[in-house]
Amino acid sequence: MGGMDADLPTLDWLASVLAAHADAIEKLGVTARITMPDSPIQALSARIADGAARSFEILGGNYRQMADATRASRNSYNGLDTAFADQLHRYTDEIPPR
Amino acid sequence: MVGFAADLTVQNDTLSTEVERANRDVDTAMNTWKGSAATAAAARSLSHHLAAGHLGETLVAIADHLDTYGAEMDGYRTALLGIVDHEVPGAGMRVDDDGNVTAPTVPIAGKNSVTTALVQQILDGQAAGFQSRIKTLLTRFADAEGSAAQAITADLQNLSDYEKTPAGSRATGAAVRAILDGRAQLPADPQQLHDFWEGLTPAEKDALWQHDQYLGNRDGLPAVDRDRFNRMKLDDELARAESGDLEAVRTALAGHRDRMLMLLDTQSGGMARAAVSVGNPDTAQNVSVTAPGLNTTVGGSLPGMVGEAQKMKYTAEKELDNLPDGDPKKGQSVATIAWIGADLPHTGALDKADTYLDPAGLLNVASDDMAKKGAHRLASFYDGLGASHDGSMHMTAVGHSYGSLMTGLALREPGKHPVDDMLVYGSPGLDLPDTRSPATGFTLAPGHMYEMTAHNDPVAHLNAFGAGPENIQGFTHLETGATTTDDGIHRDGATGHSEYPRPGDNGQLRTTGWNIAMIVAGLPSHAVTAGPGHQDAMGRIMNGLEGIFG
Repeated sequence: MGGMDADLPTLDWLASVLAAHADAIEKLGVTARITMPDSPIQALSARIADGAARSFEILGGNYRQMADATRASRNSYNGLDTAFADQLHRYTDEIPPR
Repeated sequence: MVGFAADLTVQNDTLSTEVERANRDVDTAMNTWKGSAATAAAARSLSHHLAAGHLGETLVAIADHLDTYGAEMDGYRTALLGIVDHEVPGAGMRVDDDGNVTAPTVPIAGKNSVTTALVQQILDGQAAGFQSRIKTLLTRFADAEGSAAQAITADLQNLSDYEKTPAGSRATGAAVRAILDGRAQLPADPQQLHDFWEGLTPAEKDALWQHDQYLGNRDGLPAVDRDRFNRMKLDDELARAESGDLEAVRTALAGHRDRMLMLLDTQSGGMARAAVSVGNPDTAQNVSVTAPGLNTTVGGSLPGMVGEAQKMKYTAEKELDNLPDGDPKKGQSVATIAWIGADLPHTGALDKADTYLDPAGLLNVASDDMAKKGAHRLASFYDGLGASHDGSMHMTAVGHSYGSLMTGLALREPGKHPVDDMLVYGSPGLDLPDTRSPATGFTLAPGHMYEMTAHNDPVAHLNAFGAGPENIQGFTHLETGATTTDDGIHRDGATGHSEYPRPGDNGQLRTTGWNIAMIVAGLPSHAVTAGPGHQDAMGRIMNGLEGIFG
């Protein structure tokens, strides 16, 4: 497969919007706090906030990876096929994003 | 806990929006794709897998548990503080950290030791009563705290699973697999659906959402899930097309985190359908559902209805907060739902004085067909709220105009509905077979039906569908004229067909709005009842007729 000129504007747009979605997701986080010193709920709420933050990073990281692949492989259909398929393989095979 | 849950919900809503938009952006890009079909398929597949992860549903479950148990524990805490900070000191007694209450020692007055002993006995009895109530509340608080910790710990396991396997490693259960494959359907009965839903993993719930993006309209799903799914659908539909109905829904929700989108359907009816709850109906102790009347549309009416619902909630909760310490309803919460969940007749506008119906438009409301169809949906909606509610609930079915007919029919649908009180106003009749007989067939206890008929309300005096409730035995007639209510506020009266829930000239709810709020709060003794000569001249003349259509 060869020239991708017709699809380059689409790929550039897609890379930029995916990066924006990744930014938005990675910024998410629970800032509220539960103050119940004698209750197990306080410690559990801290674990929720930490777990949610890590999860937002994981999902945001996946969109960032997709954006990066779109940008890096914009000159080759084969390269794009491989990049997306590899990421899907890592995602579904439970390999964390790099 | 409730504030933490609200913050988590905000973050999760943003997450859902970003994920859905990313998915849509990939679709948009691939729709104009000129090159390899394999590349387009790979991009769509990856995007779909990222969107189908179960993080959103996991966070919804956590927020729901925090919200539910937080509200329950807050209720116990409020009741405890009322006793410990007001009742016990007010009685001159002391309470220690374990809830033990000590009465003051009565000094021995001269030779009258018998009287002293008796007074001491009475005080000790009062102290024992306080102590019993305090210890009961402490036990309930501890039980709720333990249940909350247990539920949240299980939720955290799901969150941990997501971190390890974001694509979801747990196998989809056979029942869900059958639905996804088209070999089975979700239970139609709200209680059965709720029970089924509660047994699903977050990944299974998200898979069902991917399978049916109108999932949020299913009666019996928890309100938090309905709201999340319907908000995602709203965002999706707004991105695809401009629509006055969708814009109105967005307006009704904008800037109010306590509003929940319980229903969104632009496809299946003759008109768009939507329902918005002000407050969480699964956790509020008092819930109302208002079915509107003639000429109501989502695009033209929803923001106004939701604004009225907000005022009802505020007024009801303020009165509940002002109840004396020790009242079991003190501090209870309220959720008010504006429900446009069925097609409604359209007559053309009422005239400027709001007292005259165009005869041509009148013919459009001569049939009860739409009310009968809508009643089935409305009854199912009530049942869904009952199935998903946490703890005990007092529910009020409110109906205006043609919506009162729909409400009355819904409460005569087969089955036992979770509605405790019915309030109808501006009602053209309830389709009862005998126009002057006592109201029968409703799934309500005696004494729990209320009605309001305002001065010069032409629709309420039509008796178009049997007798109007103004003439039906068993209804309590509530005042519609100006009055000063027990909170010391002057309230304007309502005139015509449309003023009942609207504020008066002084910005306060009218007498009619106050009455709605009090019935919704479960405080009927705080509502203003009408005097014996409550019918106006129009009513007396019109009620002399057997009914225009009947």
